[in-house]
Amino acid sequence: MKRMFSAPAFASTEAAEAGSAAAPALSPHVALTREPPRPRRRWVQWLSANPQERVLLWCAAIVFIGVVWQVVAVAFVRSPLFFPSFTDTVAHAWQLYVSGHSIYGDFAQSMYEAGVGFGLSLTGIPLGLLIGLSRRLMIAIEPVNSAMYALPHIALVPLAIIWFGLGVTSKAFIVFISAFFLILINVSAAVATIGRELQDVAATYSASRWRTFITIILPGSVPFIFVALQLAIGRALVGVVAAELFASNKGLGYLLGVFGNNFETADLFVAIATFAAVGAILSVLFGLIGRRFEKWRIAA
Amino acid sequence: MRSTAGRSGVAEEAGPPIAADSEVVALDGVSISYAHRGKPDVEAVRDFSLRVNRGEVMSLVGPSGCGKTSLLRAIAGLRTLTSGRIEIRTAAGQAPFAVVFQQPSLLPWRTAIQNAAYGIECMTKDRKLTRSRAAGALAMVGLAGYENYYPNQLSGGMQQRVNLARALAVQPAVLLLDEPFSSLDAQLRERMQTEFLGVIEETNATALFVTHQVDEAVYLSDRVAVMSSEPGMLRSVLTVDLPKRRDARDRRGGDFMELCDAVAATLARPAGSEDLA
Repeated sequence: MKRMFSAPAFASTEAAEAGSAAAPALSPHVALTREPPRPRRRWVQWLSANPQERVLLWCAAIVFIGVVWQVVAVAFVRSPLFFPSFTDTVAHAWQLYVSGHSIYGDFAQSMYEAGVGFGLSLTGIPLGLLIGLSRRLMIAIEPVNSAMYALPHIALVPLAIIWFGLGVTSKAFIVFISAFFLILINVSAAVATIGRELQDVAATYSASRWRTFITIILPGSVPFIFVALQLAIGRALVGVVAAELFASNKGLGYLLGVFGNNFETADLFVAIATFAAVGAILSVLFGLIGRRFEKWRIAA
Repeated sequence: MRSTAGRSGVAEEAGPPIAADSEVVALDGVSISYAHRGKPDVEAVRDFSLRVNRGEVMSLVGPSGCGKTSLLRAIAGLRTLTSGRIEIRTAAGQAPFAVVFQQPSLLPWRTAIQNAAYGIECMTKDRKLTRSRAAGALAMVGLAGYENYYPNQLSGGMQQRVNLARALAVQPAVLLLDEPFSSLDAQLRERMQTEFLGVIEETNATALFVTHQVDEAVYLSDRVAVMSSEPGMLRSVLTVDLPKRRDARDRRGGDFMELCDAVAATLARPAGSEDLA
């Protein structure tokens, strides 16, 4: 019997019904082939063989951004007051950092404030580990921790100045508050989420609490600790800028205000770029240190 | 020397020992229940008594949820008893037990040999002894040459071997195994079972092996304890009347099939037909 709408899947059945033993022929059309990949382009080969591949790619990205920046500034905006070109900015940076030596004191001041505050906030690591170990402490600390973490820390700047004056201390305090609770919340959460199974292993070998901490809880938390530190660096820099902008007579944040008020846009760019560069370098540094502790994860 | 692992809450002062000299593990009237807030307690195990003799492999079979894992965890101290008593006899300085977990449960930041050494580290400060015992245990499970690999560089079967080596390395009075081969594929499971028999023969270890697979229980054990479920009670203990030395061919034989049938029939009996002679 002839069917009007027969799906291809039924074709062989129909052939069998008709008494023909021929197998259905393969279509001459090739739908899919798999072959080894073609050799990669020479420059890709060179790059992936190069141990500094990562750094080279970074440099390439920076150069690319510089070129786009330059083109936009020179060809489209054409107003150094509004949007200084890349080369202008580099020239100003040279003047501020190399020929003029005028910005070093401010740079050091800001880094000192951020360093002191960030250094103190590292106490959040042991405290976070301790809190994470106790379910009850974890619950007790939750509302305070969430509130302090979510609070815009700039709101504390006037208070910091009343308490600690206009000097280094008030800025370090803001940095500390910005970074500390972020570290505390992340580290305690990391401890609390370490797998029950591994702690069972320790328990069945009668490992002491200290041994369980050293062999299981601490190594399990290390990756999260470094992620928290990377995030905290960003927050620490925000803290420094906010506190210095509000009230100070020295520091990169203070200079941001001065340059802005005087429409020294190229200098302003240099100050901004400095913060960006410090943040990037520290972040990469912590990332690299973190990787050293994670040989086992990268080993695959 | 005798170490009582009485974990029934009050009974640390213990009483007269319940285990005879040849018995390594003695469970006496053990009950375990789970508390659920706002609901009546669920009784997982009721009045369970069992003896495991020295050098014996005892399997604990039962349907899923019959409380066999709860029992194993209670022996390992990971669960509390509601009533009853558990005793493990050890030689001087010997670890009473070591657990081979269902999942490999390896520390991902430690290499195979460091993982295998974990249990001994908890017992001794002797670095040399720790290393040699861990290396020996790894060799015993067929992982010589893989000492410095991290768990994520090893296959699932190899990870499970490290799990086994970690327990073997402490040379415990009794090995507690919680369905250790259940997550492996069928072919690998059979191979690991045969290797496990080899290890047991070599070390003359005592083992309590929890599984829900009848053929695995019969293949590996000297005796099979069959449990009923809800609540988990001991239904019967069957002796496996096969030569101690077995290999994969034995499990296709008629005797083996008959034993499996006997265990399966005991499992399938209606509730309330416990023979606690």
